[in-house]
Amino acid sequence: MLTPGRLTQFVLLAATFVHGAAVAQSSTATITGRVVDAATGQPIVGASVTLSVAAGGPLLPPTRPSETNADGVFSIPDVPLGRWHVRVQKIGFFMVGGGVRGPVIDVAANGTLPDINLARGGAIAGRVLDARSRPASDISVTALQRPAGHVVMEQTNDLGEFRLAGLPAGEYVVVARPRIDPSAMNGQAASRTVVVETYYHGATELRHATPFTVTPGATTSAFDLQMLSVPAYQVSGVVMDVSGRAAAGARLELVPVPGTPRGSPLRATTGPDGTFQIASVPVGVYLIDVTAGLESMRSDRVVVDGGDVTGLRVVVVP
Amino acid sequence: MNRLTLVVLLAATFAQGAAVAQSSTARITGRVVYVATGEPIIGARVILSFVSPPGSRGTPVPSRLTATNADGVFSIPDLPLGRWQIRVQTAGFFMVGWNGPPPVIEVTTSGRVPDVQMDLGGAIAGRVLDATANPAGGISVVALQRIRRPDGTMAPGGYSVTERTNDLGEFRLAGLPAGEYVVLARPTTVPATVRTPVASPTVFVETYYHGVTELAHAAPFTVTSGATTAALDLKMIVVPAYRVSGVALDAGGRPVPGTVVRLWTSGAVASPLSVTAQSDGTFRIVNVPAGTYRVQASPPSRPPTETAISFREAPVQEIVVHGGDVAGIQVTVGQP
Repeated sequence: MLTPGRLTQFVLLAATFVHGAAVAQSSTATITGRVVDAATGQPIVGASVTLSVAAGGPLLPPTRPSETNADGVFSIPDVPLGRWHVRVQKIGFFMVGGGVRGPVIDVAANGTLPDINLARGGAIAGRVLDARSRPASDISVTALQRPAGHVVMEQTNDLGEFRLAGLPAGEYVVVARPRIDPSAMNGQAASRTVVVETYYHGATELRHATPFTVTPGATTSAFDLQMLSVPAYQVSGVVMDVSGRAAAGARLELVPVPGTPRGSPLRATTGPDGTFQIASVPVGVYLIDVTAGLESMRSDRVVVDGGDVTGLRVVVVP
Repeated sequence: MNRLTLVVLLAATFAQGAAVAQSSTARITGRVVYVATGEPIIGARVILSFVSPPGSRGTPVPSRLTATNADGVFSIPDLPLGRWQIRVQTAGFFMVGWNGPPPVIEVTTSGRVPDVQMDLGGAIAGRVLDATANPAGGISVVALQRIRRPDGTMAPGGYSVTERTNDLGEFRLAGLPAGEYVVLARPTTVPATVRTPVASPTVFVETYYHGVTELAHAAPFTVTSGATTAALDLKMIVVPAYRVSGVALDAGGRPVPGTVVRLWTSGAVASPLSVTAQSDGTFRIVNVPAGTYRVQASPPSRPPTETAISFREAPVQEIVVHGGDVAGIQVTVGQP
């Protein structure tokens, strides 16, 4: 049977005893349910339902998504027994009381969940411009609920426009970043200026961001957001151990201190002679995280201001 | 140089060349520009895919991804030497020469490739509604270029762009080279390969402008460079759906679990509906709209070891789904 966990919002219908005895042999179960519009009770068609492992649950990847049918019904077969988050996604909607990852269910047998309610959220729409005031396409724009909470991300279209929908009522800040996840990138050309994370209305720091108030079912129109671009320089040097031997293959990352504009993650690996070079570092103050072999450490501050920083010596202390 | 080689790397000096020849990787830099003005394009996605020599085996060389910087420049270090295909993507633009052979560079040494030229495309914008005329969010919408055949008839093919509708049902398909396009809305948001189908009394079917299920009846849009063609609301067509079930057997009449059964049609559903036969050989395909289908059955890729029977594709049979479920389909994948 299904036992509710602390966060459990749903209770599965218990199977009959006869049924239960047979199912108890099995290590997986089929979970079905229905997704409805909280305001109208109407089924929501084409919502995507995914189960992901809850804390203390089996170490497994999320289930394949199930899509609700014309009656709003979904069915997820072969769910390994254990505790799972239920996450339902439908553009323009959010889960009522779902939290960020969705409520937790304890799957112990086949069962049907009570109806899952989605509510139509509010939206923030606007446009992103580049440093020369032209529409900036392929920019990733994120609405972050304040304090912590809901996060919605979209990309700007060819006109630089974005629309962040399905937001629960509340206060949000909006931040724009270059689209590509830099951790997926293989090298980057050096540049003397770099585009940095920009919050409405033109701040590089969250604390200077102007929040938006979102109300259900309404669209808040944002002004044009101009991406900020700052001068950038190169940081280079050598990593060595305490006896002065070059540390080859050491991994470095420049970590901006609060107040420093954030561009792409700034990472490098040292060559056979222990040297490294990181291009396109926005002006600001950084700490260097170094991992050499099994040792990890964080350096003192490095200030990048008005010129390349060369000849840094990073000594890894065991 | 090969026929497909479009760009040639700058040769290094002889002195350098000798040193570089030792290395098995190189750094490639280049620039992405708007062909009309020569202006650099910032933040364009640049993807390099290794072109394996014919007959080569072993671990495939992974593709490489980067983005252009504030000067429109990209740089990719540590590229294994060989032939690489370049693709550049940026919203609203298409690669000049997209309809020719893909540009391939022969990487023999570090260097700079000639500028990659992009051109501004046109766009088609519109809105998709569900059967009850409410905005349909999260629907895939595809612009598919039509090519005029020598005999004057039109055929699908050429350029295509896919987007999803927003919460208001709106879409904008941009970066289209000038030409004639048909636009269709696809029902599902989840790829068929990862979907767990749930039987539904009705299903959306692929719907072309202005509300037809057949490509032949679709109304084309003319797209011109840099302009947006506004499309009317497209109402998705919803039809009753049925189930098709049966059993997959070998020549001896024994069930063949793992047989992949597909239903093909030229009508409402463009991509096949498919299912894998269960341990008792039975299969059930849900959400089948009315129509005539060809049933294709492929034996499991790894046949059960306990049988010595060699499998083959079942002969294709045709079924008609009309007004109700179809049961008792038998597919035989065993060698007679």
